[in-house]
Amino acid sequence: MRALDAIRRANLPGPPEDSVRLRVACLATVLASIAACASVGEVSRLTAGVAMVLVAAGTVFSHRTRVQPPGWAKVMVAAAAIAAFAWFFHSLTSADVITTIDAPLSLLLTSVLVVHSFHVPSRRDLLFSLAASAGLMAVAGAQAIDLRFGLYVVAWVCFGLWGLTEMWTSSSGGGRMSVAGLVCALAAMSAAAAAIFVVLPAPVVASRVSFVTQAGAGGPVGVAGALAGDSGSPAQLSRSGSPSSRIRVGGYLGFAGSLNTALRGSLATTLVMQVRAQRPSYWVGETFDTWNGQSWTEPQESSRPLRESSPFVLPVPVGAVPVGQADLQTFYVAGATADLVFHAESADELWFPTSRVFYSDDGTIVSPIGLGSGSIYTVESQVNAPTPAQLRSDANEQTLSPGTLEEYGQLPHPYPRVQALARSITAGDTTTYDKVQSLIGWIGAHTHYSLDIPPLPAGADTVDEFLFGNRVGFCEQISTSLAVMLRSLGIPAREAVGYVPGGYDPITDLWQVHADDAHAWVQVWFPGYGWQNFDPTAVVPPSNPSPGATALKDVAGALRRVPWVEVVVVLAGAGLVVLAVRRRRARPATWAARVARDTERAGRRAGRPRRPAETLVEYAASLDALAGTGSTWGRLASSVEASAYGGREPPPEAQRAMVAEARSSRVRRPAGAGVSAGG
Amino acid sequence: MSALDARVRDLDAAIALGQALVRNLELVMLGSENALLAAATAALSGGHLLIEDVPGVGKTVLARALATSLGAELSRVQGHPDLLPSDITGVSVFMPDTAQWDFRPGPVFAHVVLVDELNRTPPRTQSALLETMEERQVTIDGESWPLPQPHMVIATQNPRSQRGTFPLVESQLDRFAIATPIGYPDAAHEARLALHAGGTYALADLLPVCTPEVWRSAQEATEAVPVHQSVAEYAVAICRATRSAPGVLVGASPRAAIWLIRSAQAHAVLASRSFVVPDDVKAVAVACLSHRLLTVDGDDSIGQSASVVRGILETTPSPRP
Amino acid sequence: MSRWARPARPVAPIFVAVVIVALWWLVAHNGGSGWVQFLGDLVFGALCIGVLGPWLVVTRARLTVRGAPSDGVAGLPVDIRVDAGSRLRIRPVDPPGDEVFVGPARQKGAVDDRVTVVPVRRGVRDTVTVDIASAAPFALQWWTRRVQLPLPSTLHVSPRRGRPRPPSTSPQEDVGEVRQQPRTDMGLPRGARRYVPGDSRRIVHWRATAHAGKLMVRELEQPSAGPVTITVDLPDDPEEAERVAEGVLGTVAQLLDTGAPVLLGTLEPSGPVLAPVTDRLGAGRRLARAVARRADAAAP
Repeated sequence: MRALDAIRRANLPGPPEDSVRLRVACLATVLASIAACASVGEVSRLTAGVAMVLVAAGTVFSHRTRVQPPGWAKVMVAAAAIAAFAWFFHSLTSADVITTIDAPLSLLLTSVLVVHSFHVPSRRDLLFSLAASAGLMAVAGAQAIDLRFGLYVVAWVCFGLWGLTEMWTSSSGGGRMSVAGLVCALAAMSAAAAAIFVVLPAPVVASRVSFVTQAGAGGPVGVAGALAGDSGSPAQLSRSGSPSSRIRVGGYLGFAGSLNTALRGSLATTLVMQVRAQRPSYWVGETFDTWNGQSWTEPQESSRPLRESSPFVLPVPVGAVPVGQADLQTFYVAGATADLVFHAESADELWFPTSRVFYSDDGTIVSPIGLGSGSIYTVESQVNAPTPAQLRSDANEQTLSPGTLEEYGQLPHPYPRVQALARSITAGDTTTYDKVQSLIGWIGAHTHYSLDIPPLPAGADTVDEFLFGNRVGFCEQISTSLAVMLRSLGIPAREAVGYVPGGYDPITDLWQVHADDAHAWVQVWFPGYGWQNFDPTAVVPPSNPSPGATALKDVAGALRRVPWVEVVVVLAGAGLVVLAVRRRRARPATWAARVARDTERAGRRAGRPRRPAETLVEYAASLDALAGTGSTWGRLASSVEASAYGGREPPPEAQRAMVAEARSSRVRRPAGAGVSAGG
Repeated sequence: MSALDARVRDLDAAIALGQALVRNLELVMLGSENALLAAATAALSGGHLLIEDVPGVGKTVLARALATSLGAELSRVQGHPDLLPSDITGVSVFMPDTAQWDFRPGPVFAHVVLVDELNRTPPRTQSALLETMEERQVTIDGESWPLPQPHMVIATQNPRSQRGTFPLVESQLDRFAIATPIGYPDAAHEARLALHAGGTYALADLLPVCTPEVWRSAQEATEAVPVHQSVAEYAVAICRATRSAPGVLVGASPRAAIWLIRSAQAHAVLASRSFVVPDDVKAVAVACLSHRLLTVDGDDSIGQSASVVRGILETTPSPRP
Repeated sequence: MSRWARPARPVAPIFVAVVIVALWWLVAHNGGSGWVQFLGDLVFGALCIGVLGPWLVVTRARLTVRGAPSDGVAGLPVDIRVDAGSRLRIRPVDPPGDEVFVGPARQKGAVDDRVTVVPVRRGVRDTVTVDIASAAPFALQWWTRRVQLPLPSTLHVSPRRGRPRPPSTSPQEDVGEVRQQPRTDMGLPRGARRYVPGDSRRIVHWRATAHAGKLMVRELEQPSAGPVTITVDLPDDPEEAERVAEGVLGTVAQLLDTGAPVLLGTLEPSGPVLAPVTDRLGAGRRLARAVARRADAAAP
């Protein structure tokens, strides 16, 4: 019975809410959340517009009928809510989930907001509106990938806080919050939000239901299945990318069928894509196995089409280990990029907006369309990240097939000097891992990284030129040299190109990959662990940093960039000006005021400041009593009051004399007098 | 002779009158400087005076001395519960020989009216004094009779807690410019008082210091004493502070501010000054305001309110030159 | 005395807030969207302040009584003026009263400061006990605290004016004991004296006037009646004592209306008091202070 009572009490309508401001604030909050939803494409603009008009109309209606809401309104609201929920569950269970741009959950929340707005008699119902708008904001936020969404968040938060404070005003019988109280509440709220923001770890993608895929502004490329820049059949060797070809992505020339280390690109800083991942990783585009002294080229038998529909289940690449930690990455392409499907090694499932993709045995995935801005795809990878100790132990018996071994040990010509150098560097090392580390250490110590290097002389070998020539290069030269040194030692290695994760945005939880994050590095094969990334020039963090730590680091960096000396100088200058103006204003205008001020100063120095209620004559009398001699101050005070209140001005020389006397006189306590005369 | 000169002369006369008046009163009232200063202030400012104290401290003597010193006729009304309004204002009598109503002026038609033990009269009678004190005229049967000028009511009242008293209505209290207790004299003065039979002998020998006309012109000169803007604001600030002071139910009225400033003018004249300083306001504030306040503990006399006013004087910032 | 602030019923909003934050974080953390987590942080901040803010407001609330009358009547409302730094909901507990809001109001400069309490019984009180509550700044959860407010002056709650009891001459008959002495006559003429202004015309002694040729008036003895003495003996039961006190006040008021002086004898905490009362107010105060005679104490 108690439970029943509680339910009945909860269903009792509250008193009608009369505050128009509260309703306006709640309406604004709801409208802001619907607009936010439309801005990220959760609902279409038309739907959002209609919903906003209806919510506004509903608000006016329910304000008009707040005292006695018509019964049919309640029935209509209940029926419409039930219908909305029924539609929602139907569309969840039906086969074609997404037929239009409108997502079911956001449509459901929008329609609930619309329907509910027609029956909002009391304050509690308004609170429900705010809560539902928070839900809508969450749905919108789940799709938001950039900081522009922050504008809607700011608007929604402002309106929502306005609504909440209006709620207090209304529930306290028309109270007024002091400005200080409001500021304190805002500051405390921000502090609590910031604290939880700093404390919480980065969100992870833990569910794998269905992922949104979009083709965006991508378009078909010349030859299906071939890498961008190819002109013939998939089997044909790629042409060297040239600076003028259309596959120049942000100035990087490596995303093609071959990687010519003689070419010098110029990297732009534009945003290429944003990646949501459980942990950062090298986003591999493609790998190369064949080195001809100047260019890397792809494996010969590459690219066969996978004709399934999304999600694509990918075969295990050659040499890869099919077990590891599952890692979901969603790529939001921001600018035109190659037709490579970037991913963390090694991908096993792909949600992609086309009906087929091309797949190579080395793990390279090629899209039939060039990806443009707005393209979205998701990859699930099995990431195998062993510890150094695991890599050092040679317990695993697994080996590559002889053909593959030969493929990844290929050298165009013997490199005796290189081999001798590599042997001397790794003389003391027994395990492959230690050898790789020694080589990386040597390269780090003896070569210089620079993007601005002279062109390769005609006919020269890139590795020889780099290791025994100027020893200056960027990632291509450095990684190629490492790969060749490893191959000369008989260790299987290959060249990989792609992107490093770039910068982490703590608010959107996305890695921002820019054009200059394009990179080339080395993959070394370890028995039992497959291909492992080694990179002499870049470092990838082991996990997503916490948003709070990143934000704090950003703030600290921003503070460090502030020119403190200049700021302090300017502020001090402004303060001095203000002080000077105040002093000027406070300077006494008449001789009488000066004498009065000097009297007060003399008293203050004697430890007897003037009390506000004390008249000057009283004060002067007490100063005379304190000094115990004469009646200097009393005499001066009488003259001052005669001037100030009676307009009795003494002759100018007398005025000057009194000013001088007041300035030079001191209240001298007689020796041994008590000191407890202070006011 | 220019107007300024006339004013200066009048003011000098007023100052001289004030000093003579205080000297004269001192002959009679031994050791009650506060009371006689208050009396002189009321006389110069043209306000009415309320004297509150226990019987036997010389309330009546002070009133008589004041009247005599000012050369004015004194008419005395003894308050008691049976006193009727017409006993104060006068009455129209039907004269059989002329067959006409003849107005017989009451005791209020005098320059100085002493109402003894005012709070023993019932409120009905007290209210008869209201019109005469404010309008300075008597209206009987639709006909107004002006009172002689200057006109001053000196009322004495027993402390309210004493038996057989009717509390004075607030509107009446507000009409008194100044209220003062007399207080017990100190031992030396009391001995002298006892020897001189309470100043009665001195009273008999007292000579007037002026005529009512001179008194009148002194009042006018006092009213013309300039008050600086900041001093007036200070007086108003004190009055306003009484309205929000803790323990006060009803604060000082705007009329109180007017009389505070006029009393301060009179105090300045008594101090031989031709302008008002904040100290004048401070000096008269307690006497001028405390009887007008209605405190939470309504049963007490002026003493309670006086401490409230003193507290306000301690906290209200005085103007700075 | 001021107890800790505690959440006011219903406390459901607190649980709802906790559940919302937990659910939100669960969804945000596993959904992988930074914006959802960021929005969740903001919602957490707002709920935190909405739920815990009132605790701070109520704990730090300054509430003082600015003005209160010194007299009241049992069962009739007494208006108290309070000073509140912030907007507060006040429910008087002892004496009880209706819920009101005090503090700064919406109109600029306007302040609500009136709290009405209705004392149930007569008595003397120096404090009132109220429950103060606030849900500032977001009206999500109310917190409340019980405080005792000292009154600026003692509040005497006099009993209601009950039906006058017929004067009883036998003192031991009843608990509420009323004894009346016969009134003496009004003042007797003692002689005649000269008329002075202010003397009533009613006491003009015409015969003496004719005799003396000047207006003479009668001189009277102090006009007085013998006082009525009422001794109040309150029973222990508060309800019954209230009834007795009401009756006594009725009797005293009636006697005072007829102009008879009344001597009221009561037992106060400091001891027995026998003193004249001149008006209802005084009588009410005396009765407010009166206490029941303790059983072990000897009868006065």
